[in-house]
Amino acid sequence: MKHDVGGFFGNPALRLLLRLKFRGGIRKQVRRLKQPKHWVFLILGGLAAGSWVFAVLFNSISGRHEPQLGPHTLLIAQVSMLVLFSLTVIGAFSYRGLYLPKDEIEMGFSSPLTRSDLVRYRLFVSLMKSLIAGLLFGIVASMRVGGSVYAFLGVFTAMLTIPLVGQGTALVLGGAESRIGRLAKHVPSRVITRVLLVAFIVLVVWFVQSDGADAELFPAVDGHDTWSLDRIAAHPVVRAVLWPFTPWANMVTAQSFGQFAPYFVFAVALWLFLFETVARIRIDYRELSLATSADVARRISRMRKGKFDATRGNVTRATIGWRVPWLFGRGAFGAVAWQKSASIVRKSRGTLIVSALIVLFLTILSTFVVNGDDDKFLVAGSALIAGIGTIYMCAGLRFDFRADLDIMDRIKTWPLRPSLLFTATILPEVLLVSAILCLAVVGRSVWLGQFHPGLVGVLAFQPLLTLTWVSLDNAVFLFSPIRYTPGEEGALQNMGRSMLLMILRAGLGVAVLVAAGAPAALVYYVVESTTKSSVTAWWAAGSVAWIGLFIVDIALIWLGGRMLKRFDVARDRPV
Amino acid sequence: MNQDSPFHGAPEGAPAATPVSSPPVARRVALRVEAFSKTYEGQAAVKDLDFQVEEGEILGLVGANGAGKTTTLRSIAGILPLQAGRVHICGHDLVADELSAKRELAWIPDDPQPFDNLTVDEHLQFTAALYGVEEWRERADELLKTFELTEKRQALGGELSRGMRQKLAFCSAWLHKPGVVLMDEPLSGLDPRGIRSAKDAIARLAREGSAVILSSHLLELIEELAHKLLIVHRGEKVFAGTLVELRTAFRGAGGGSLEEIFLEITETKDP
Repeated sequence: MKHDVGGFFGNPALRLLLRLKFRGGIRKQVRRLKQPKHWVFLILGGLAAGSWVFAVLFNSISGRHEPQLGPHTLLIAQVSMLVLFSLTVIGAFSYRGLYLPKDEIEMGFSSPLTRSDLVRYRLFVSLMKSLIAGLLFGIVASMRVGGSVYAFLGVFTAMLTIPLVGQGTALVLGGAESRIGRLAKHVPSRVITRVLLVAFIVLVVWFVQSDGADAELFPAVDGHDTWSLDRIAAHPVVRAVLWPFTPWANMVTAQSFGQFAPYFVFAVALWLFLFETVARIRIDYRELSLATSADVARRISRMRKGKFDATRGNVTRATIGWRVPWLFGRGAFGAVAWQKSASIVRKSRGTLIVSALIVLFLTILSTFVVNGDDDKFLVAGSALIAGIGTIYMCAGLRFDFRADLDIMDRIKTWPLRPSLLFTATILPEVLLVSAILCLAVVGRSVWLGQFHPGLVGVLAFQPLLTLTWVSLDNAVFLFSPIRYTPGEEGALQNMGRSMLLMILRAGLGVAVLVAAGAPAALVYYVVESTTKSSVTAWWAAGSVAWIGLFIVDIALIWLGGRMLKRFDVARDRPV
Repeated sequence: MNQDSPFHGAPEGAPAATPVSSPPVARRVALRVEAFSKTYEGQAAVKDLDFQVEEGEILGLVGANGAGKTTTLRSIAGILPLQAGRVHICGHDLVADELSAKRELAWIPDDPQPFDNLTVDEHLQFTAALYGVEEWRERADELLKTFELTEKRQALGGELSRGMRQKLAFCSAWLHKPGVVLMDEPLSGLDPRGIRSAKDAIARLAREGSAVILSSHLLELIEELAHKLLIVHRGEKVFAGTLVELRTAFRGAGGGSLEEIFLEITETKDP
């Protein structure tokens, strides 16, 4: 690839592309607003975002956070910059080379454009994206130090420098990888990130362990030798690490133009220097960029399916030879459920890790929240695991329609009634989540050495509760599948849309609770008043609630089937 | 053909190159590939490939999946770095004089990805700026008409169907009158009328002096359009020449279709 340097603003055709894309983005939003629902989404999203910004600003200028320069403002500013720059550098491990989206990469490499032109173009794209973040963070910082314009400019210039550092790091790392070759390819970015994270934790532990024990490492400040922010800041290593961020931190804390101007001039000069240096880095990044772009495309595809769930994990090679049981027969229903079961088995490592983490978290939570010797606390703790566990586990595993969004066209052709297809798809996940949570409930009881008949009730409700949540969640998902991934345009509209869906889920959840719980409450009242036995009343009400939930589940499965039938592959599936 | 280029197209009124049965008259070489090799993590994808395409000539690049066709085309297009060997496009060395070489080049991938938020018209405006085509509007209108995209000129890239994306890729590639056109499965996704338009346009492009490399699994298409063939198998050249020469080499006077001969060659080469 050609290494011509080009002008500061790069190739005119790419500048035209930047303008056309910007105009195209606005045009697309305007076209969307021809539909009333998008207006609703935009207004809701705008209100949510606006209220957040307002809250941040109000919080900054209200009495709760006195807007003033504190003794640690400089240090806090330096540490904030360090965190932002460090995150960017760590992020660069995942974007080695130059990231170009799918519509730019082949065009960019096969056209008469220099490598430098492409880098400049991508830098301008990143800078445009950083403008809003820079403005927002700048305003917040300004408010926090008493409305200082200097603080705003300090943070704003820092935010615009960060993309340059990130891109430069990605290119340098790319160059190193090209030179080291295969060795570096076998060290995934997540390994490097984890090593850095562990190093950071070790450093923190070291600091804490050294508290007061090593006067040489941590010199006393103003005669104080106890652990304090000042002592850590005074440490030579800390000072050395924070030193590069001094210009921006000094701008944030500047009290006069005289204090501010030299650092501002320096920061602008540094920005120009970095921009030009990054654009001139002589590395042939084509193969790395192709790999990075393919990797990003895969990540985006996974993000569209869900968030941080087990389905995003890789298939465990060792499981390929395992026999996956046909739990529901050899017919069409059984086949659909089997392929979902196979997915669970193949990704069992991720599933087990996610499940273990959630169960551990819930067990610890239930121990803290519901704590007492009475057996009733055992039931309450178990109910907590069952209730919250259902939501967390379903969000963490996601072997449902979210994982199938890319193959909905195929699914629509399968010879099975929609409600049966819906059931067969979600059933393996329901059974898995129920089994894990039932095990957690029983395990906790054994561990505590306690038992209460109410535990039987918790265990009886668990599968129905899971079925209720999974079917409700999937029905709403199929009604309006998630298309949005971070970085896409239309963030406000998506926020509004997500809020509406959340309200819809909550509304349906309340309706389900009322439908199953109201008759049970009535039965409890009647039985308790006639038999004068609360135990009998609990069992009677519980039985009615169980039957009620069962009927509600059938209704939700019917609803899910309707939503599956309504799902339009051309309209609802993300491209 | 790019007007600013030192390399000039076929002279006005020169006879068009004709398909396989009658080889084209001798012309200047538009694309020359010498000793091209490419490896991925130690595995050879293409081995020591040599070939050349003259102006006005259509070369059919044929091979099974994984034979190295797309790797070869993407390397010539400059998408992949040239690992070993040399590529000259209209007299410009792809490594030493990359920008001049690329100004003479057009690349049509098997799955073109237009910009989602740009209209068809804006794609052409951008392409014209990219290749420095000044009076592009008239030619763009003509191309849009040829590929039946006139009514779609205000449609966004993200709204186009697979076939329309392909047609837009043709229009963008044709706009600057390239000296060399590389096409990877160019007819996939096109409707029958689109296929007819594309075939005519490819033939016309060659008549206007461009050298075309056509990679496709549609052997009838290759047989119909290509003047010469390059058959690759497992990254190696197994044949280069006209269909007549191919028949002579592999069937003697026996004749046979390209498909039959291709299957025979690749079968005998398999272990």
